[in-house]
Amino acid sequence: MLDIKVVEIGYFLSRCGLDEPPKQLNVKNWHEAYLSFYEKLNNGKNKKEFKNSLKNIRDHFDSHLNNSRRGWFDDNGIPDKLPEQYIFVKNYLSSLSDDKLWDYLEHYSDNNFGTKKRKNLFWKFDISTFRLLGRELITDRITAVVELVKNSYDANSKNVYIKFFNIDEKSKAKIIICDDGFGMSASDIEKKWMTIGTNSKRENIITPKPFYRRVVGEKGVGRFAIDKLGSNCKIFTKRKNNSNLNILSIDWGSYSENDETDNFQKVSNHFKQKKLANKSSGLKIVITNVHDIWTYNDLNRLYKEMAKIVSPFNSLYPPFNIFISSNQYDDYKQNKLVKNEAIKYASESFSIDYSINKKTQEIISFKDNILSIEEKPLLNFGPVKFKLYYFDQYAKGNYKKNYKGGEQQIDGIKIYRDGILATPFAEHQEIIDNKRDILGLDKRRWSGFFEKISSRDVIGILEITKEFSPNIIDSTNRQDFIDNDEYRELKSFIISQVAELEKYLKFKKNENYKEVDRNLEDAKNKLEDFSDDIKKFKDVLSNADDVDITKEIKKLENTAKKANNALKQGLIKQQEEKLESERRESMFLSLMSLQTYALEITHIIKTSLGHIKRRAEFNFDFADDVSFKDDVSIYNKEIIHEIDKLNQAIEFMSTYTRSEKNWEPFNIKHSIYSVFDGYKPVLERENINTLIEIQDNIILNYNIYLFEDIIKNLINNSVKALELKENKLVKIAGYIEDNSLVIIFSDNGSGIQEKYKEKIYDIYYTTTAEDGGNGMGLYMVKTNLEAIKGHIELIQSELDNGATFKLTFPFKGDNK
Amino acid sequence: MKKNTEIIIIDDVLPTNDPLIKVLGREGFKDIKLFSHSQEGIDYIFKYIENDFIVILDINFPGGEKNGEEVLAEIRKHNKLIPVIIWSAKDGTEYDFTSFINNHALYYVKQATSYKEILKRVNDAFHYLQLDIASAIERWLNEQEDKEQILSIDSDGNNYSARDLMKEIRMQSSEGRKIEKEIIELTIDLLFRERVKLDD
Repeated sequence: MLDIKVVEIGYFLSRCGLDEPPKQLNVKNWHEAYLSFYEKLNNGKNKKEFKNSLKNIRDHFDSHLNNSRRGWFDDNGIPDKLPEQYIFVKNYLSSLSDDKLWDYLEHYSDNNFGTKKRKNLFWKFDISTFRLLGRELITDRITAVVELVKNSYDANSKNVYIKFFNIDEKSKAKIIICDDGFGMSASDIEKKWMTIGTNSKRENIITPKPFYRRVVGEKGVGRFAIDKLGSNCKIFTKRKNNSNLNILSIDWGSYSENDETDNFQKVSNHFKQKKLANKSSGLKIVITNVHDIWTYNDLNRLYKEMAKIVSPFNSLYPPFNIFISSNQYDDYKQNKLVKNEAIKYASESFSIDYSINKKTQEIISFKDNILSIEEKPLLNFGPVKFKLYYFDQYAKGNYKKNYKGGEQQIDGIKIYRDGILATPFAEHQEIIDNKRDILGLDKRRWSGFFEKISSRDVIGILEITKEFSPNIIDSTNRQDFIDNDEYRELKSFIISQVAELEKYLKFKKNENYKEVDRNLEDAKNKLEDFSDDIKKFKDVLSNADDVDITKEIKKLENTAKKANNALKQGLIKQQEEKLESERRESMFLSLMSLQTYALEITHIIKTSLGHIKRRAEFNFDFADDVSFKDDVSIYNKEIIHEIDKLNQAIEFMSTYTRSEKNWEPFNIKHSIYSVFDGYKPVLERENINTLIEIQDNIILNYNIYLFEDIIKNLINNSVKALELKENKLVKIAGYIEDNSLVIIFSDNGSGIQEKYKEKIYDIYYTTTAEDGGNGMGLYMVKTNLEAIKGHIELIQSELDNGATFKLTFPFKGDNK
Repeated sequence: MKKNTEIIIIDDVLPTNDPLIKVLGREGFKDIKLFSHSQEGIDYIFKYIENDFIVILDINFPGGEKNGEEVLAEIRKHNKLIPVIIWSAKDGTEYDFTSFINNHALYYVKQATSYKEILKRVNDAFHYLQLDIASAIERWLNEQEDKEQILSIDSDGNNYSARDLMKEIRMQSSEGRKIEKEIIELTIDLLFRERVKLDD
């Protein structure tokens, strides 16, 4: 089977070429005409083979097309029968005009652009796939801007300007991103920019001198970002030593979503060139038809994310500056230079480096009551620089005061590769608790120690280089690194370093206690001095004639000030301690409830064992007693039923014991869909319709087994409640409200009678014992939720009848 | 005798056909009442406070309901003498029984032990009840025609019927204790002066 493209080219050559090759190709002879397609379509053939094969195709078409060449005919003057593939190609291309045909095939030729100044460019890929891919890679608009800025970085820009115009009104809004990088030539635009996953960036991993930057937009996804921001875009770009300003207009809006079969390469993008006689270079992207309005807070978020892009370690030379401006928000009316301001407020910090020559890695260690730096041999993941800034409550407060909404930026340890943030890939999360904790910093807190640092107490910058840490590899979704020995060791290295800081903080805290005591003691002494002075003063006043009274008063004032200061110091320290201990308490509470939960489960099992034991005992004692014949047989059944319950409880408990391991972020939507998929056979058998409306991208940091178990319990209940109904419906909705995930679960079944409303959460409470209901369900749901301080309640049914439950899962609270 | 004693089981998860109820019936306790809500149990006891009761009480009740501890305290407000057997899956490793002891729970039986254990405790409680003077008066009263007749007049000239006496004894008020003590002393006096003889 021939490559269909080659057949299409053959058709083109036959149709548009006469004695001379088609003029569009701009070549001297047929030989050149064939070979101009060689680079793109050779498919492993050598030039001679390729030329012969293409000529052969052209000749085939010649005999069926009206051109000056004769083509192939048989002895009777009848044209050779065309192979099926050829007929197919001929049929669909014959409707195109010559111009359109060339537009369609042009990019297979090497001699693109030629002398034309105006033309349409086509995407070199399927649009729907492109957009789908884009949406996976660019999950939010902040990330989108980050991507575009990374492209600017790769283009050796010194300055990038992100400008927002009228951004509070979609119809008038405009987003401009411009840089002074090396820009793109016409052929760059066509061959690289408009083709997915071109590897040009990967081939050149270092940008040209004098920048020598490591390329960061490795996978070439930056252009997807534009689609995320708005549907209309104009790109102006120019290279330094080229007088052409290239202008490309893209209208994403014209790619209809529904038109999936037909959109391939059909919609053109307008391309033109203008002469511009200066030596400047760069790129400007103007986005209109903006998808979302950007509020002041959105710009602040963007600013903060931008501040994280370049490591504060490496002051780059030549520099890379990012500016944000907006004509609407005062703070951004001037171009606002993005700076990382967090670290100057930190209360503790350390910094470690490495030496390639000595093959040593510095590590931090807490010894003799101080943090000291030691030199160790290099570790398997390669040399790292690591700077960690710790913020206690006081430093956080200071930072917050000076940097509006700044708390968000104190958000854990990030890994930079060659000066640029590697991962998590500029992930933006409205709710900080939903951020991926890839290093597992916060998971440790669940293990029950109050002295652990959380990702919200630190900013960490870990620097690796591609050169020396080749085995720390980004995972494809760019939210983590690929799991291998090196990465694991790197993680445990980071945790171990954090642990050293923790030891130090613990030591300091004890010192603090002592200092408080000292301060208070001091205050006491000062006050004693004060009363002494007053006494003296009194004495002095009684012999007032010969003494300088003002001098004595001054002395008195000084003593009073000192006393006051000492007391103040004491009070500040006490307050800090108080804040810290409140935080610990609230942590303790959530752990307590887990223990309470364990006790509850134990109780269930004991109760169940009691039931079984009495029945077994009775049957043993009275098996032969005719008067108890019926009872014995009922008890036998009940024993079996009770054992099933026990099994369920034990199974459930084992999900809890697994929970430490499975306590990790997961996507609510995926999880709920997978539960419903599992229930498909049951739901279909029972003729139950489902309506699932879950907000996208909600990530919950919870045990996925427990979560799914909750959903399963609710579905089980609904299936029972719907048994005798018609038009059965189960509806589930999920959304975020007040820092919690809310799930509204409804059915239009038999509902819950008023008098049972309080009872339904009790252990073993069931109204469906005959149908095998065992009353464990809602009890499990409730205790399970209470263990994480969530709750379940029965609310006004949202369907005509039936039951509606509201479940609340708090995101791990900010324990302040 | 047993048939005059009511067994009150207050337990939220015990089914009505539980073997315990069967074997209690077989032991001769014909009047067994099961309450799955603690308040219902309390209400019943107060309503028929003059009856002979043996209470089997669970500790754990669902949220919002009085737990075993509270139920016992409530019962003790009106009657210090009803034998109450605590029967629960909870044990000393997870539960503090102080309040039960202070409120004179008679026995504690683990829920998962043999029902023979609880039968034995119920029988013990039955004998305890037989020794209770208030119950004795009750039994005696049941045979009398005029239940309100005045039995005694105290030094202040207040009149007491048998019913009043029973109430004081059950509350273990100072008056009640005094009467109890006097009845015992009188009984012993009568017995040893051979004014009366023990039935064989």
